[in-house]
Amino acid sequence: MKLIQFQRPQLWSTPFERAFTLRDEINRVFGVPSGGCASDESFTNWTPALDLFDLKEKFEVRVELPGLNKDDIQIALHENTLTIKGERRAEPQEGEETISRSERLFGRFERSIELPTAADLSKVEARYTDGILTVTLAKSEAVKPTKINITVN
Amino acid sequence: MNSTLTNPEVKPVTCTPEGSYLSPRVNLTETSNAFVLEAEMPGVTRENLEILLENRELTLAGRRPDHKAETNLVYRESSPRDYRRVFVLDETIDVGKVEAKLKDGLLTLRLAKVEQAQPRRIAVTA
Repeated sequence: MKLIQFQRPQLWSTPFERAFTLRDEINRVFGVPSGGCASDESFTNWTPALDLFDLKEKFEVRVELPGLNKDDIQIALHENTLTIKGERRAEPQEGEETISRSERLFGRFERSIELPTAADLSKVEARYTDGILTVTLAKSEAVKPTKINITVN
Repeated sequence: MNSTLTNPEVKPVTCTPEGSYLSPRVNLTETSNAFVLEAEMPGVTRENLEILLENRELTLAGRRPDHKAETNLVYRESSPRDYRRVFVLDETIDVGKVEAKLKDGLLTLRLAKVEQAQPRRIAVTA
């Protein structure tokens, strides 16, 4: 897991691209599969549950992410907005024949939450245990985005 | 909720009071010699997971002990309820051969089929 600097969405270079991207965005919002063209984004309707705790000195954000590879999780902090995104890949069973029940969601997800106050970027920790991602952020007034690695326990 | 493993078309039968438990999301895959059931139970440790097989009824129950504390909670989307779901296994499953594995909040159960239900080659003798 890495804490990366917040990146603004890419600007569209041509009106055509812009139109396609917009359409894909609309399709994504309304859950319509993107047809053939343009986007390689594989967003699903997967919205993992997120909880926010205020623990006096720090904030704790917990996200339910069962069955993920922790290298597929990205955490970014920009000012006081925490963004957690990643991807859950389907792992086919050995000798798989038929899927008779499919309730689990796979693909990419992205969650953002605005913290009530700014957090100190140098004191952000993340751990992934029992399918729960816990991000701990020390409270701070300073707002200075940089790129750092996070210790994963 | 009850679900008959081998026939997903069967309508689930409610057997637990509505609203008291959270039903984990499951995937069920059939291979030639087994069924593989995956259940998402984030926050559940091995100590807090109970898998009960009684007659042909398989119960998955997971507790999240530190999950109910409302103190310091600013915003919540997760459910405060414990996990529970019941499945009925039909005769094609060998109830003596059930293996379970829990990793990163994902429970994987391997339910072996009885030998009669597995594909086999028939030798031509004459």
